[in-house]
Amino acid sequence: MKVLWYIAKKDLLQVLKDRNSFLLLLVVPMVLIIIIGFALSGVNSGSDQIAITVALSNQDNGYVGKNIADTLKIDKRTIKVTVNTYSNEKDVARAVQDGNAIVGVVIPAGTTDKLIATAQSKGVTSNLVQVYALPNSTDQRVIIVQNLVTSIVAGTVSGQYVSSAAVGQVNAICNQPGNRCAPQTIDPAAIAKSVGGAGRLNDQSAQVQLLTAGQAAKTNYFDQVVPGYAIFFALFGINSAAATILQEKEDGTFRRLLIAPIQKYSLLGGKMLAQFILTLVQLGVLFTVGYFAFHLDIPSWPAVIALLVGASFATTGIGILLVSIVKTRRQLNPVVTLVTLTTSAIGGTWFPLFLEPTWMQQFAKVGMAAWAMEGLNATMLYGKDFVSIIPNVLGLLGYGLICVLLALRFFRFQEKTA
Amino acid sequence: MQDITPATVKTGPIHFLQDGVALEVEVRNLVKTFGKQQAVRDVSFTIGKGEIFGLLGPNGAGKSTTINMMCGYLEPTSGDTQIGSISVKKEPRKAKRLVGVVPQEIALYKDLTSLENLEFFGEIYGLSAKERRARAEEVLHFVGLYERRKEAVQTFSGGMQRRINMAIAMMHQPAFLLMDEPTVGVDPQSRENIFETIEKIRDQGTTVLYTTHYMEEAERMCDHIAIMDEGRIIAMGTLDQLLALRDQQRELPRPHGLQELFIQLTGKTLRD
Repeated sequence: MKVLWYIAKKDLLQVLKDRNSFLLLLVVPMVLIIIIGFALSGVNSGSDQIAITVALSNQDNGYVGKNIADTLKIDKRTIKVTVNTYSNEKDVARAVQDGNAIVGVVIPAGTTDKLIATAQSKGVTSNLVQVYALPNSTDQRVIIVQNLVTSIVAGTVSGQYVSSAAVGQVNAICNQPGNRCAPQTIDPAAIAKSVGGAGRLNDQSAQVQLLTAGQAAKTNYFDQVVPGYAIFFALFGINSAAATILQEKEDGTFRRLLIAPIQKYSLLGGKMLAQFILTLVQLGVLFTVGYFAFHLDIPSWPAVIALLVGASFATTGIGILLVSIVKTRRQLNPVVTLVTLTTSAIGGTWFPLFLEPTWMQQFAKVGMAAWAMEGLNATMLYGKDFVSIIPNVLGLLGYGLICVLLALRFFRFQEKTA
Repeated sequence: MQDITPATVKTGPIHFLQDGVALEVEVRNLVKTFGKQQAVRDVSFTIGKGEIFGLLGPNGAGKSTTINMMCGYLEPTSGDTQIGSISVKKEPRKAKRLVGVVPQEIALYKDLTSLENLEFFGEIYGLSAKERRARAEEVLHFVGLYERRKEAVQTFSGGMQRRINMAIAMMHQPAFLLMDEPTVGVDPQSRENIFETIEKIRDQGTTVLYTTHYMEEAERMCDHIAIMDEGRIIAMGTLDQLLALRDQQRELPRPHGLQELFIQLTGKTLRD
């Protein structure tokens, strides 16, 4: 064990003396994280809330228009809707066109009267309210507002129909022989308003529930960029793990160590220990800087630490496996590039894993990046706890162990030459 | 860059044997086969206690393979080496503690200082921190590089790097020192320096095996010499014995010395 540590210590000392190593380990990943993070931070606001600006023209004098206008004024932790009112439809359309509002809502004059009349005649309503958006818009916030308005209107409409039916029932009872209702004690509009209002309240809370229930992704893009690029650059560590061994073989120091009275596997063990420590430190520094500088959301530090330990072990294992397969550093570079780029790309380090088709998310697990990113996304984007990411940690440790066992099987301590 | 010669710096006493005990080394019927190629064929010789034994031969003769088997780096196809009473085959780790190897290539961590190199190998050979520090200073004085102990080895000249190469082999005070062509690519001044160092080592009682393909080195340094070619020992004895053998077989005039003997025995020069 002591020899393991002596060899690891020597390797770490060599890294400390090499300034270029530090550049690659820490500075380059940090620069890339900053560039990519800020470049893509406009995708979401970077705050905890989804912010929506609505251009509203309420020309209705009745409760339908008021319901919609009141309901749209949402200011919650997850969503804030700012309503700018306009006097006519044309101004609403222009506001959307000019980018001053994400979506426009127009409630035409007489909407409430139309609804009441239709309900009383037991007809069918349609196109009570207009929603405006840019053509071919894929902005999710348009969908959110549209759903909100639709549910409000649906609730209001059903409320109106129910209340009309209720009023009809009351009148029928009043008109039965022997019954008499005092005039003007039944206010159909008030009944409709109350029923519709109750429906609106239900729909509003349900609508809010829709937005906050389930696994809503966090909106700080650094929560994806920092883990993604940290894992990506950790993968480059497999090059240094393998390269140091090949370098020692070329320089003759490897042979010198094998002549020494040590277990030959402690040689590999020492190299692995050094690389594991380096990778863990690299990941730790990047995440720590990310936490303080870019306000990373880390709901569970034990989960993140466990994943980083697993990822460090897995990358170290891959490095040792590679050096057991390739013979020279010239052979090593293209192999490392291929492994790093392909497994990073499909493994969710450049873009969220959940954007990939399900089959690809599973296929990506041939590489360690997918195991790491799935776990990091789960805890950092979806707030899952330590227990939930245990399979990912075990997957990473298992991945590394398989690589190490294969490396021990194939590694050549001595070349087969005279 | 001018090397600092030992005469101008303090060398101090240098202790080469842990218990002051010189060891005899016996090589018995060593064979090494790589596939169909037999690199070493039934090589046997004995190195007396505290003597310098020369293994002379051209490139590809099997000298390095023989050394690799003797130090436990390569497993022989058959045969064994006995260092004192310890078998390299049966007790490799114990045997390795007694052996110091000066490889032909300069096997150093060039980004580390000479002191860091020595301390690392001292750790590997099981020296305590106190022992390592003391021993490293001792050895650095001996090879005349104490003043440059905190400089990275990559800043050293070839001759200086070779001296550190030797110093590492001496860190754990081996009873048996294997030196594989230690003067390759070295300037004459540094070479002379290395010769003097080896002679001092021998004078302290360390048993030395010295391989070379330079006749003059073997003639100068070695108490006994074995000439090797194509994996076999073709002649062995003291210099006088070998020269006498040459005289017996002399048919052609010049060149002289061991070179001539080699040509007589093999029909080619040592540099072929």
